[in-house]
Amino acid sequence: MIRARDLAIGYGGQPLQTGLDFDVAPGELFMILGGSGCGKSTLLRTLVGLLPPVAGAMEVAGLTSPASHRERPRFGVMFQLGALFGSMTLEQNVSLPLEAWTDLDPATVREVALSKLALVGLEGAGDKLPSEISGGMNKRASIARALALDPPLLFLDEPSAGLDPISAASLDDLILSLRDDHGTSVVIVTHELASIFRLGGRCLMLDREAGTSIALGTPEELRDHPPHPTVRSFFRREAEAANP
Amino acid sequence: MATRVRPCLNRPEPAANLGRLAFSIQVAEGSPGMARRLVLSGQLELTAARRVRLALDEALAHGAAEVDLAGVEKLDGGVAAIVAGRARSGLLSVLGTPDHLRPVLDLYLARSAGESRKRRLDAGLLETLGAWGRATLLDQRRVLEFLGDLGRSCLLALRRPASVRWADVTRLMNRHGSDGLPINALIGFLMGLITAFQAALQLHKFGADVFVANLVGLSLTRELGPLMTGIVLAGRSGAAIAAELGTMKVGEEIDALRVMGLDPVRFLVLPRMLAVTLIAPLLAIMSTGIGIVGGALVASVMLDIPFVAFGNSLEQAVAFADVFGGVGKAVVFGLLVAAIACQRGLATRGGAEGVGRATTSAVVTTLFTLIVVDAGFTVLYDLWGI
Repeated sequence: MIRARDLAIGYGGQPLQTGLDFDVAPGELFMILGGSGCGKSTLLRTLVGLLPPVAGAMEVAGLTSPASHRERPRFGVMFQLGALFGSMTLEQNVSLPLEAWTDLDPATVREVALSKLALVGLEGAGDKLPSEISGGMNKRASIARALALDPPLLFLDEPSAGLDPISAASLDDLILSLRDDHGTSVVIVTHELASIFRLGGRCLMLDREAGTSIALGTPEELRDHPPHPTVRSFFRREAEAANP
Repeated sequence: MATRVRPCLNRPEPAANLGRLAFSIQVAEGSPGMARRLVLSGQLELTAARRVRLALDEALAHGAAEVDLAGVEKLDGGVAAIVAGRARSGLLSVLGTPDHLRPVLDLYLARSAGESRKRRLDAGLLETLGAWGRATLLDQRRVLEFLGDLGRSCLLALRRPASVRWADVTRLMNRHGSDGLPINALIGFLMGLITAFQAALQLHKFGADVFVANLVGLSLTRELGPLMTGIVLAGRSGAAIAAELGTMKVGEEIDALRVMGLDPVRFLVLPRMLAVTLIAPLLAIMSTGIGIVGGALVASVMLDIPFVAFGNSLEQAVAFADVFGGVGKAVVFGLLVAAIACQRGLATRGGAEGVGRATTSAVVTTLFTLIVVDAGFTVLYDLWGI
């Protein structure tokens, strides 16, 4: 589903992370971990085509250059802030990609949009504006919009950030359900330890000091056999190695 | 060692100490190799930070210095940060730190902002000019990219008119046009009133009262009507568009559109440009018409010129070319207001402050551009004989 080879990411041609090599298989849950400012979100923005790679090669859902305004998107993205359109109701937000990329009649679009909202636990909230709902609901609605076109690949940027433990756990269950029941590949950027262990999957850990990935494996592997001091500090919540 | 005491530094901070001397800063001769020695004592709370900073910088201006904290009873984080930041530079030695104050000082010695502060101070004129030049070039590049995207979207819209979100266009025409009618009408009316009043005062001296209609008609139709409409649009609609798009940009909504395969220029910019461009000439015509009514009112009251006579003079003075020229200007002004506002909005960087900057920039740039373009129109119309 995703293949990155010697990928370098950054802004304005200045690399933040280099030499990234990883693959994401269909139906896999893949997490990008790391401390604040290490380039997790930059990697996600590069993979979805919002930033050009500084160097190297990548292929995402069959596309080597994902940024395109001319074809139906092959993946869905949930942004860190939700990024719902403030002037539209939740139903209109979810309907937008359906209206843009399908020939469905308005009644069908509405039904599909409401069913996507129900899928993420937002039954009856279709007529609400994003400003009228909580942070957790906002993220759920954003996932519903990302799922509107039934993409085989989903990118989620910090889905649990800023949520209370119950909402975060509920969102984690939704993500697991999407992978298990729908076979959706999910790429998640996160640094929430509770979510990391709850979701499982494989983790790619980035490090700002090293300027590249320092670990690849399951959360348990990385916790029990950390290949780098920063990995150990991250999983043990220690400050020393991360902030020398 | 002989010690010189400067009691003038001992003034307490009024708000924090309620008139009581809470701390003192004394300057003494330093140890060998030290230009100055500062002896701090008392309660060094945050309100003392400014005096401590000034005293330390004054001492360090003469070379390496030392600060004696033996008499300090309390040390707030702010003062500790100021001492620690200078101690990290290596020029300031800290002496006699009481045991109970050592943890807070060590905390700031480990994490002071001294180095970054030094880097900021070291930025010279050349560096500042370079940064300004780079920012300007980047800004110009963004404008060119925007124009390129806009041109491509316009061509696509011409080829496939159904691709334009016409529902948004009508909604935005209502928001930027109909909702702005009262303010446009009022300003048009007042412009006509003022122009006629000033003209009446002067023309009456020469017995040329009847020419008030000519002056009001021509100035409003050719210049003031379209220009004032453009200015009101810039302040009202331009600012709103820039703020709206800027907020969408910082809230990642523009990125969300891109990853959904939707072109933000086609989706957001084109409807706004069409709406404002279509509404601008209509507002200009209405504003001009109401302005002429205001002028006729003044002519009637001040100069006893009947409405019919005012209308006849107006008919003779204002040709179709004048109306056409004014409407043409309004179309271009509307286009400029929307294009500049959209470009500034989409180029927003940062958070709420960035949105504010983008909005201000949109309004200021638009006003300046409108005046320059209006001057260009004047020359062009003169060349064309309009």
